[in-house]
Amino acid sequence: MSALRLILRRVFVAVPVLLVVASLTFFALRAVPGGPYDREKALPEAVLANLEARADLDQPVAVQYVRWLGRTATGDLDVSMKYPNQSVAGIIGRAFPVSFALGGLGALLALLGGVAFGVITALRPGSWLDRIGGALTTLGFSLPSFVLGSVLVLVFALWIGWFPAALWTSPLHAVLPALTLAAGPAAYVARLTRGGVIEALAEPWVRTARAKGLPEHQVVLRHGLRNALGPVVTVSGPLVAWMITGSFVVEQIFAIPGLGRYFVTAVIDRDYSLVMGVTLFFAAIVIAANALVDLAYAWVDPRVRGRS
Amino acid sequence: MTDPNRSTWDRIRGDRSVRLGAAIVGVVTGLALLAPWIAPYGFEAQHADALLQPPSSTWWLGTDRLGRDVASRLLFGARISMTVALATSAIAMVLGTLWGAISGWVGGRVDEAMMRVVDALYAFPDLLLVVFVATWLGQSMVGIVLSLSVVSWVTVARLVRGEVHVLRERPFVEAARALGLPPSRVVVRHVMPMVVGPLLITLTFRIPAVILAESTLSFIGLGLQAPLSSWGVMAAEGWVAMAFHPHLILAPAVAMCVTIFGFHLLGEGLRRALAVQVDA
Amino acid sequence: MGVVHRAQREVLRGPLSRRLALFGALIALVALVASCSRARDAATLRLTLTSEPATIDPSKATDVASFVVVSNLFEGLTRYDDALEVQPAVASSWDFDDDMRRITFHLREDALWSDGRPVVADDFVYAWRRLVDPETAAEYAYFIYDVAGAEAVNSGEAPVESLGVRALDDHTLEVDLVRSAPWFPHVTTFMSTFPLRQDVVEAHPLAWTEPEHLVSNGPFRLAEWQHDAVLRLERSATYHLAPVTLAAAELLVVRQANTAWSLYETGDVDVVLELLPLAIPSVRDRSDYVNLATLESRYVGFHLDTPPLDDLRVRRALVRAIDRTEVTRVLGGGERPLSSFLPPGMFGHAPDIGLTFDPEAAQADLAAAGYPGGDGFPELELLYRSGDDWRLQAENLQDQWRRNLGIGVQVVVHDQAAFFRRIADEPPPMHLARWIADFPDPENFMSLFTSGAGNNHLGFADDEYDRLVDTAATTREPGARRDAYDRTQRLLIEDHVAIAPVYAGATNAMIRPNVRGLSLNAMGVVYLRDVSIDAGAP
Repeated sequence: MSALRLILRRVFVAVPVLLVVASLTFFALRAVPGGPYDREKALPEAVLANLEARADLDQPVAVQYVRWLGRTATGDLDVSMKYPNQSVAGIIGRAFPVSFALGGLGALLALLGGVAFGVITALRPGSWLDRIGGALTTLGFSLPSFVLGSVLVLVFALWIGWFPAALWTSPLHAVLPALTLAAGPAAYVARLTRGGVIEALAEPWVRTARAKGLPEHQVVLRHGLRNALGPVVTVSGPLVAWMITGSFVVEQIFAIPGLGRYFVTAVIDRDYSLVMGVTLFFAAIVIAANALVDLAYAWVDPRVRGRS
Repeated sequence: MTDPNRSTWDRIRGDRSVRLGAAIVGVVTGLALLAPWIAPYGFEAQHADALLQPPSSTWWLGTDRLGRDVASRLLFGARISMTVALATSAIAMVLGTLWGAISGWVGGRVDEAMMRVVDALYAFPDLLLVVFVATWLGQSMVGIVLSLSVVSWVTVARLVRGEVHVLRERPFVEAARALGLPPSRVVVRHVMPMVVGPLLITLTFRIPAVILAESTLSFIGLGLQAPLSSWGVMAAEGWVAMAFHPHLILAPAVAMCVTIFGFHLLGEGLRRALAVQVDA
Repeated sequence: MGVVHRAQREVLRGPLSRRLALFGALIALVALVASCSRARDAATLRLTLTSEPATIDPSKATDVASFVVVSNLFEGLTRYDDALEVQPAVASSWDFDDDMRRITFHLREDALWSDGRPVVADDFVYAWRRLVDPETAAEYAYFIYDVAGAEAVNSGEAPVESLGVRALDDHTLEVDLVRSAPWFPHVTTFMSTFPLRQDVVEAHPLAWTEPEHLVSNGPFRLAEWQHDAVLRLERSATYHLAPVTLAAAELLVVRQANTAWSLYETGDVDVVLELLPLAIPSVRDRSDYVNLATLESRYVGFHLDTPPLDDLRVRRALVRAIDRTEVTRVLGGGERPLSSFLPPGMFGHAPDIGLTFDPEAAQADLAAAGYPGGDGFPELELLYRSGDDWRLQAENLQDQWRRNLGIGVQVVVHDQAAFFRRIADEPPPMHLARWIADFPDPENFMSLFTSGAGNNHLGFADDEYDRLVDTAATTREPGARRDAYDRTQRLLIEDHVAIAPVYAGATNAMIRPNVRGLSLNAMGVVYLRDVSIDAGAP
């Protein structure tokens, strides 16, 4: 099957999934106690009536849903309730590139760094290098990212002063946040790679390759690594999702203007329109990312490609 | 790497990672169970004249902002965190296994539909889902367990469905069906035992994931209600004070590290011993 | 095996690892160089906001961050000075007619918008009509409900033109009031009443607050706004009401208090507002630490219809069992214990009103009510909203009631929206509440508990209270006003024990010693106009 058909099929399937996701979100939002205009001191009737009319909240839920469907189908994601002078599309449009840059850098670090780390520690299992590596990877996947992030800030920003403690105004500002984001996945990837390489290197055909006089680094890279990369590729799908949701914590701690924090704050604020927009957007991203990973799999594995 | 001459159980028992991992998990579980008896103070007892004390002979790990003994809270925290993690994982496993087994076995349109639901949940931002459910059900143990279960079961469902789907075509299964055995019996007695291995491994990786997820919930402010002192709650409380009272974050961080490391060792060892390729 | 080890060692000494080492050294070098070149513009004040301003449209803004920004970009008819006295701003003077039901503002002739056009009375007329226009759906429309016709317009029952505001000429604004309102110049300090340019707003209804479209009349103009990150304010060339000593300010959006602290420590910001209380013990004696009482009152609200809280003795016991100094010690933010309702700094504050901490008397009251030593007392729910300060207070109160009365209280948390809905729909027996002054006037506080008030979730109703609050609002003689407010506080807190006051709020800030003229006042307004930064080392 050609790649085009695969893509088209994915798009076709994606639409009902998005609809289900959006509808679930829509009704769940209205079912959760508390709304966007609940205040310490109840608003005067007229004021509340005006606010609710503006947001269609004075209509029965079914009517609200139909109206929302109509608007969204034409691409109108409405204005945020909490930020009345910003359109939801505008918010997503300016915040997503930031999260994408952060997440992309994090993913790169996680994959490249994790693989490199895994390979290096696999070459000398049991050595002090391997033990330190093991300790580091353990810290990576067993510490919550907010703890890790703050430790990095304490050490590298406050004590040593190499990197800024927060904000997002220069490439240097991306280092600590990306490291924090990448730590968990990198540790995971490192361990996976290490295990895979050690196993691969012990296989009989590797001994043959060495006996044939193949230089060591070629043995490692071409034979050991390729074998170990399978599970790593599988992990890439959920990795993307993690980069987006995990970014919430990192963006909060490092004061980065990304999209991640809106996932939580918009629900707590009961900013209905923003929640709907962000959920739809995120769902589309995840579906697209998974599709891309499957596409990559198909391209890499000729068996899958041959099948329909 | 796996010696086919030894039984599975022997391989599991012999694996060093499994032994070390099980030991760690065992110690933590033991401490959790014994907490009410070995903790020097209750986990909610406040001491207004001993706020934010550093570790000392009176307060082994110091006290927190309300003058509560950190060591005691840590021990009870083991209890609470493990309970939440086990309960969540159990629910996730049961729900996910049922869903995946049915979907994988029945196949066809039902399988498609059930997997679409799984896809939809996958596409739903985890954090959003958890926030919704936690807001709805409240932040009691039950609420938190249910909200974390909702996001956890999907991975299990996918895994089980995949395994069952493949196993269905195996000769021994076909033979059982040809013999006229009822499908439920075939599934339960012939298919599921093959899935137990990967499921067990998934479980050992699920538990640490839940412990971490629970700490993220606390960080957001939607974690377990006061005065419950899960490690996640303690980590979130300690994190705010990290620059000034590092003992508050150190205790739960070390506890989490050690415990999660133990589970990972266990999982990796099991994976090796069972010679299973599992993407947990 | 030996062959394998040797071979592996070769790889580590080989090209791959050498390249990695080189890469690592390169990173360190870049970091070092970059940190040297991180020079900052010394004439720009950098301060932190704890949230992104929700909107800087004066008609729609309600949150603190927006408040800070709008107060420096725009200016209204009047403004507050450091002592919270009303001072002229765009209005150079005003006069009331005899029964205080009409006020005429005389505008300065030299007040200009940032694009050079003069500020005229019509700009206020437009802004106020827009504020009450149902289409705008402004949350603070009720701030000018004292203006004739405002409520009718806001309810959709009258056209906007019927609002009792008119421009007699370019520099004279006449306002009709529904009742005698001598406090009205206080209302015009508030950002909801700031002037607006109709042409600017209507040209870009959604985006007029963006820097490329915004026209404002205050000491600063909006030079740049990277949403969620930073707002850059620069001295306005068209502002003539007073000299503006500060050239520029950058307001950074930093939500986490520890992050703000880290930035202060690294020298990246000059001012941190809302400092985290945990930092205080280490900065208490420093000259750059500031603690300021705010006009905020925090209390426990009782639901008077829920047994056993319907028994006055039970409520008295609960209040008497609270050691407020312990609560403030736990919170650690410089808050002040408060036994009455009006906070210090507010006219009518009366420290001798209220029930003091007396555990024996509390136990006696509880026993008299039928629960000696707490026996048989049901476990009551204390509801609070998410937030460290709320949680600490709730948990400490829970423990104090257990220690001092022998009763069990269950603390329950809800997120903010769910919390407000719950106390409005099915009020719990007890909940933690606060009131922050909209205006530095006792009427703002005491009117909360009149029988029909919008957040009277206590079930408290007393005719004398209602009457006193009503008359005190219009009484001009300070002595008589004070007496009236004393009486209402006693009714609320001592006679009916409808609430348990706990503490008055405070805010903490770090301000670098070389930053001068930054005044924080109890209303939370941060005026940047008179700030100057001494050159040289901080």
